Amino acid sequence: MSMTRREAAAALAAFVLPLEAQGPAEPPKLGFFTPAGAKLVEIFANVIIPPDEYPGAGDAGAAYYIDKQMQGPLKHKLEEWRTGLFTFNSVAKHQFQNRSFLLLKPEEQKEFIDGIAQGQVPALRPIFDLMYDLTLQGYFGSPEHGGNWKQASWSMMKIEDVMGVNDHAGHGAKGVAK
Amino acid sequence: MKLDPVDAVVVGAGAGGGVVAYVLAKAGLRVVLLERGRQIPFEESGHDELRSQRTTVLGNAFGPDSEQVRMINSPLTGKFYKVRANENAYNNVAACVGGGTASYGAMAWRFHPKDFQMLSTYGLVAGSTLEDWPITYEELEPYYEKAEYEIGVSGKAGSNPFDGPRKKGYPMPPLPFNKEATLLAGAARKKGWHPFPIPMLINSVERDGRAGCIACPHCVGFGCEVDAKNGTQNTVVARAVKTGNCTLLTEAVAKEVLTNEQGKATGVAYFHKGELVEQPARVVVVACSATETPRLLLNSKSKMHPKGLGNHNDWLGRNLQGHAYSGAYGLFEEEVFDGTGPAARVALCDFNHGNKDVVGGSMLANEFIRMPYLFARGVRPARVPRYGLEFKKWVREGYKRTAGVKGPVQEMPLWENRVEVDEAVKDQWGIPVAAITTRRHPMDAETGKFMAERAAEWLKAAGAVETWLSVAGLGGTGGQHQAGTCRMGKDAKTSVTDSYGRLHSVDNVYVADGSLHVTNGGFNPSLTIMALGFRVGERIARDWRRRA
Ligand SMILES: Cc1cc2nc3c(=O)[nH]c(=O)nc-3n(C[C@H](O)[C@H](O)[C@H](O)COP(=O)(O)OP(=O)(O)OC[C@H]3O[C@@H](n4cnc5c(N)ncnc54)[C@H](O)[C@@H]3O)c2cc1C
Ligand code: SF4
Repeated sequence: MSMTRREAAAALAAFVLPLEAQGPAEPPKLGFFTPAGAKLVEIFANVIIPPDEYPGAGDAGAAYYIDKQMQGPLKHKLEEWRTGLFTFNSVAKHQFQNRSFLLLKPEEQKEFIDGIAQGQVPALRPIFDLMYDLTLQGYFGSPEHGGNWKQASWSMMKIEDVMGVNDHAGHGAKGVAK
Repeated sequence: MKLDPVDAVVVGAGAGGGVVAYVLAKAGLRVVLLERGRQIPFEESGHDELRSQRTTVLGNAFGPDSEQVRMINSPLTGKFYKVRANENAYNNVAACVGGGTASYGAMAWRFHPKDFQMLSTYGLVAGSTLEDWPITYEELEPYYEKAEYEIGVSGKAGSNPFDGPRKKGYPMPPLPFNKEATLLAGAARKKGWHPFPIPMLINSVERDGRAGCIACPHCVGFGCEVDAKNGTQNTVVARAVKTGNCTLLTEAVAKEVLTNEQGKATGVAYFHKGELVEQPARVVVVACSATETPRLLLNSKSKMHPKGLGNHNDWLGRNLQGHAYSGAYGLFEEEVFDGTGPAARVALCDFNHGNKDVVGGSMLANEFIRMPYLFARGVRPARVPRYGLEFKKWVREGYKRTAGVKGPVQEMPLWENRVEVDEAVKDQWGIPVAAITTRRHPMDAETGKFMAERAAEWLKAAGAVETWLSVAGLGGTGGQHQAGTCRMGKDAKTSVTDSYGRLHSVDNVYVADGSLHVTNGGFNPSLTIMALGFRVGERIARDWRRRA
């Protein structure tokens, strides 16, 4: 053990995510989402965390996070997700003279989502809560899970230096004296 | 398949079981240590927040796998519903070698002397089964010392004036204060309070062939990349195996404790690689955690023990406790975050006891580093909306300027809070799963509120420009600090084990984990569980020598 605490910390900070885990150059292929499904999630995620000088959650790949996880650890949520989105679309159509959610103006889309958040459509509360939570997971979790492209949230919070030490894939720990 | 007999089987290689296996192996007994999980190397668990021990939304790197289920009695509906292992309500600790200690925050607390005398100190509390421990702090003190030296604690003896008397200092100096701790310590002293560095089961210097802490930002909920965090997996369990007397068998899931016609234990039946194996033994030690230990004992029914092993009086599985964690957050003008782990560095014990109108209290400490998702989910003042631009701005500007102070507030034990088994719901091995019911006593919310207000007071004194409280609700408890389900006691009518963890109703079965706690103190429980492990183990070894 020859490294000092400071040296070791510096060595660790030098580890960054491998390029492929930082976020794709172009959007990856979708698994179970249709492009329209992905678009809807993107819009929703951008209402939860809208773009400003930093990308919104939708722009940073929240839909790709959900798409990936719904085929993996969150498989058991698929049914809830599908029925929830179906209801979401039907209620939106009903409320906006048969226009589908995707075709609404951005202000209308936001108005609709705000309405659910304020409890105006109790039937949509469960799907809102699920989409909300998954959006935060996708945006704040590690890019390796499909969201948080280019460490969007971490660079906004100025914590890439500490969070970037992500050795989940098995790299990183090796550089430190045992 | 039936194996050759051994002297002792220990079920569960966590905080308590790891210690007992070591003490017995060192004393010369032939021991088999059964663990349902595996060794989890750092390279496998990594630094992924969404699979960490604290935030298991994508699964728990330390097990059990998400497909495991329990039945949980919902505080909202009063009905049982199925909960997966990676959901909060499951009440998970871990399933791996080291149990909870492989990824815990490693705070190394001795309980306060009064924590062992809650009934004598406060009198009866209506609706609660509040009771004194059958042992005092003084009786446990030598075993606390063993835990601190054998497993490895860094700290500063004499720095906490409310500490019970101790014979020896800590084996390692304390970790240095970070920015937050320095700020908070100064403010507390000005108020006449008594801040001190938190004792940690972390190497502050190289020890035992392993590195000192490098202050990485990922501590609680993660494995340690330099192996500076001391759990049972890298200390006592490893040493037990090294004696040559202990066989550690991983991915071995205990099904039941076997008994004979006279009702004495004869060994343990467990599943390993799909096969049911019988391991005969003269002594059985159950150390599966405060939720899994009662499950295993309740699943060990026989003619002599029709309601489950050790359940002669219907006390087994009851009094499940956790902590009514409460505290406050404070927003500062300047950044208080410096990115150095473990971050929880300063505590005070001015409010563990003697608080007006409430029962008990807790230590207060600053928080471990909050990972980004956890922060975004739960840390913001009421004025900030939960989504939208303003929310985003809050995360961006608030993250490094927010500090949290919290305490594991002591809960009133309740007879109704219990672990049962649901015969109709079985796991993949066909073993009935745990069914858990918990609520909090109204006093817990009172004590929680009192502590949260002290936390806010502390943060304000340190310069917080805005503070907000976080008080435990009256819903479920247990969780990561689960305890109490096999209460120790002198009276066999109102407890499950004697003061050495031996079942009142079966003289060769012992319990050695958080289940033994009569009350759960105002502190994180591991060091106390480890100390009890040493005491239980030495008692078994002493009896063994006498018999031999
Ligand atoms: C995120 C987190 C942070 C924590 N931080 C702290 C802290 O800072 N300080 C502190 O003091 N405490 C902390 N704790 C709590 C601490 O980890 C637990 O209190 C402690 O590990 C409990 O010890 P135990 O012996 O009762 O059970 P465990 O440590 O849970 O051990 C039980 C073992 O039994 C095994 N097992 C269960 N059933 C079976 C079976 N049927 N067959 C075979 N094996 C079985 C389990 O897999 C497990 O390994 C933390 C816990 C968590 C989750
Ligand atoms: S803070 Fe220290 S002990 Fe904790 S995980 Fe990081 S290096 Fe290990």
